[in-house]
Amino acid sequence: MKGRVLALFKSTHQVIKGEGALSGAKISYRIIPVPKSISAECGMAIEIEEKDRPALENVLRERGLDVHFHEEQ
Amino acid sequence: MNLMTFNGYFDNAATSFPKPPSVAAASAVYLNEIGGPYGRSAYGRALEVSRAVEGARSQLADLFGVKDSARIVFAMNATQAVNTVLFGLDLKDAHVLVSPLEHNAVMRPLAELERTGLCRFEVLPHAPDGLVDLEGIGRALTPGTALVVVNHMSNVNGLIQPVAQIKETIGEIPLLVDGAQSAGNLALNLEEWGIDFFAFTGHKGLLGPTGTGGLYIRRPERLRPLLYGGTGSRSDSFEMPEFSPDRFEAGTHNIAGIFGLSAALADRPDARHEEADFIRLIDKIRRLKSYRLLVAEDGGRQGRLFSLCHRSLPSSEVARRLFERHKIETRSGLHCAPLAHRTLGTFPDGTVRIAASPYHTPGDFVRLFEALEDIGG
Repeated sequence: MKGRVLALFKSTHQVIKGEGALSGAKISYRIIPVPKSISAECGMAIEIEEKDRPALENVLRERGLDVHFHEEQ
Repeated sequence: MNLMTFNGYFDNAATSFPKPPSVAAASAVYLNEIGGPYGRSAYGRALEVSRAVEGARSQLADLFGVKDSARIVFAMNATQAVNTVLFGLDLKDAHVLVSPLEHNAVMRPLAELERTGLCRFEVLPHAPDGLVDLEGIGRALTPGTALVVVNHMSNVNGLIQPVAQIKETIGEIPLLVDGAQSAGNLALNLEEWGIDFFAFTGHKGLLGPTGTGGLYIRRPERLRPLLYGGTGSRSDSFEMPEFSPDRFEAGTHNIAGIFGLSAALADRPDARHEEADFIRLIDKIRRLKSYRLLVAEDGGRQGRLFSLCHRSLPSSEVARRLFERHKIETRSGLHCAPLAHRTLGTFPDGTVRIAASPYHTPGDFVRLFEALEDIGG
């Protein structure tokens, strides 16, 4: 969906930590299966709105979580 | 168990009973209502389970004084956790030092490593009750010493080892602490103490279900996994992930058990007795001439368990009489710790072990004493 990005984590542990960070920062999100076309990561990805990406990067950096983003087409 | 009546279960060092009522309820909620895997998918059940497992991991990290919960990995018990360290470190041609009160969870893997020519081990210098001699550690270290293993709280005499000072003394040499008896029973601050590995189980002092436990790993990148298999991550590769916790958690977790463990951590009961009540029990038994007590010499190093042996009756007979005459449940024998019994001079006959739980009342201790008095004469 245009205007949305996927936050990809290497483990379930990090997805749940990432979810906790998003909830704390009041950023809206959805957890969805990682599309097979993207990677063989941990099975869960967090979908957010593109505009929230800088805020998410900030909260994840504060918690020492690794993430990379995939822009949805 | 009706806790308004006598609680004669004193085998809490083997496995604790009773558990907080919420433990069974939480496991049942998982089995009956939630189901689903940890990770691997993104539907509601999988997410709920993943949150719960990570929640339990965070609870353990908080309890152990660990900031990054990724350094806590789940295992089925402390034995698996200890094996993960002993077979996961590179101990080729290494010298390993162990405390004199080690359990076979440590000694059998080490003996296997020694038998196959991989490493050799020696026992640390110590006092008669097994307390490691801090000043003697320096003399025991060799240039090849690659690991020191210390049983935090003995499962035979309850002695609490000074693990923080031991780590301070050995410096960069890794320290594996067997916390099977200490987790849940002692205040822990693993990061502040500099502990490298801490093996724990969920079903003793933490009051959780059997089949739960795990390992704290200060530097996960230095350890090979014990088990290899699916983790739900890096699924395109035959290699185990290099990151924790996935690196050490192949296969499906004991999710029902982890739900119960989480409830036990959240719902820990206040002890129904004071430390002074337990010390009073020890002091009273000490005055019975028919028994020899196995306790820490320094009362400040005494955990909530100890052993005793009768001057003429075998330990198995004392345990039998305690149960048949008084409905008191204890464990007699060697407690899977022959090294500890050799150290304490009770090998091969063993002892009767008394291990308290937070659910014991001062009245339970009085009944236990009266039973020992009755049997001991």
